[in-house]
Amino acid sequence: MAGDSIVKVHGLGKRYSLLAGWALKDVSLTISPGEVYGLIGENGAGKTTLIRIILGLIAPTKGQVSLSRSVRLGYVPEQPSFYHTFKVREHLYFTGGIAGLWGKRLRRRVEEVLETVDLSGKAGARVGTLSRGMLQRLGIAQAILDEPELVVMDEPAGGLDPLGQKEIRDLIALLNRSGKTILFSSHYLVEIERVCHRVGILHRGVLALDSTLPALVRERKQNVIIETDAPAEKLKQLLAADGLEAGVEGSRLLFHNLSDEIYYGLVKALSQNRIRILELKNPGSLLEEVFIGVTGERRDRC
Amino acid sequence: MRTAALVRGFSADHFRTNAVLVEAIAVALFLAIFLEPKGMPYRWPYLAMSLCIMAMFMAALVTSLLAWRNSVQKIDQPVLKAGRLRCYCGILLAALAITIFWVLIIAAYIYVFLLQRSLPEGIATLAAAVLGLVLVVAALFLLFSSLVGRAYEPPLAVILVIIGLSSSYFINLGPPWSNAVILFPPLLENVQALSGAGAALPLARTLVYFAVLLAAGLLRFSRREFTSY
Repeated sequence: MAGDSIVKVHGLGKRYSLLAGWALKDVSLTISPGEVYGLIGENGAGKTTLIRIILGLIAPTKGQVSLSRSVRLGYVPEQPSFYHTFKVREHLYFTGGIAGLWGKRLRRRVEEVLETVDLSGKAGARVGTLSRGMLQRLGIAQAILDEPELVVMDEPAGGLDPLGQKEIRDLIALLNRSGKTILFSSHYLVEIERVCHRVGILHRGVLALDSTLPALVRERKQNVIIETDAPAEKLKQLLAADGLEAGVEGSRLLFHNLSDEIYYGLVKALSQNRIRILELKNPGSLLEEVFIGVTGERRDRC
Repeated sequence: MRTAALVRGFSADHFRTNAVLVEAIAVALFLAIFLEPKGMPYRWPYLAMSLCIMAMFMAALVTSLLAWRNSVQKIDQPVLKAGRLRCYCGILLAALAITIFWVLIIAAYIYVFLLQRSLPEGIATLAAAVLGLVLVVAALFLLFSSLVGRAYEPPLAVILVIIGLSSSYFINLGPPWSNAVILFPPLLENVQALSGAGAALPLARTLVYFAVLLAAGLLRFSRREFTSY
């Protein structure tokens, strides 16, 4: 039993053969009911292995996965594989039937999920004729057909255009609002930042970070770029005079971990030297920063 | 009910792929070569043996095609939604149903064109023997298919079938080799029971062999790792 959590992973390790290295090393995490958990990692970091172990499709070499009692699972693989000879509605009837849905309930659920994923207009089309985005939505429809408590998605927006990615993001938010717990992996950090409550970063099989988004915001290092109208020489002189540490790139000042105190002092010094601030920006998203920080640091250590 | 949905789904998909074309060609070639009406009159033991051989061949072909079709990521959803046990049984039952469909077509051809619509004696024995052969061969080819094992395993099933069909050779060698026959599928015994050789139909041994193959297949399938590649 996983207690008040829906998924509890403890000390999980996986190696595919004795000669192979560890695909996962001592991974522990907990997902609470109603949470959206985002898993980030480079290619080969172990995301799919972790997901498939949680689903019971792969056996762990060590450690254990506990799911809350009789939890139903829905799974959207990175590249959903379908019976292309079926029509969309027929495929959902097949999936519903094997999931234990029958009669009126099956018919009602099929129409509901077709509506949810916006495929009602394609219900009579052969699966083989659908576009990549539609197939991904059909994969989601298939996963949620029997109203699972936990929906697991492996790169659900992989290979989709920006509009397709937004549709998937909206669907995830919609599913979460309807009370579903969601675990999903993605390369799109913006996607994770927008819909997740909790984030895990897998790096070379190790869960290098497991935190909530608000906690990450609090711990965020303020990397700031300040675009000015002064030449590099003048900026260097100013920094030296005020004892500030920053990079200079043309008319730009590059600060790593800019505190509020330094910022106010800098603004004062710039105005005293009649230097204008043309633009002040934070490079990249919050997660991008964290991700590069975590994986970069670990890469250095390796 | 879930298993029935699986069988229906697997069969429906199978009959819409080119696999059915391959099977139809195999049946047509068999009938044209071995049971061509110009060769009449055929003796009953020959017809019964032909039907048995074709039933075994079709069981192997259908099971292999079904297992191959479902051995990739397609099987993820059925495994997750219906469970491994139902999934394995679903594929086996679908394979049996499709094989029996083809066997019935061949039997109907024999009945209409070669037997002139007269039923010979021992039809129940023939039906039992054919069913036994189909069960054993389908379970054997599923056990060694890419659905549960490695891509190089299907030839193992072929080897076992060949040994099963030549078990008389081992019996003639005497002990201890003749005792090893128990390990091989009881195929020749089933065929011999129909060809007038006087042997009794090894029903119990066939069912036990089928049960062992089914259990071994389920065990392997329950331990299979469904990786994403």
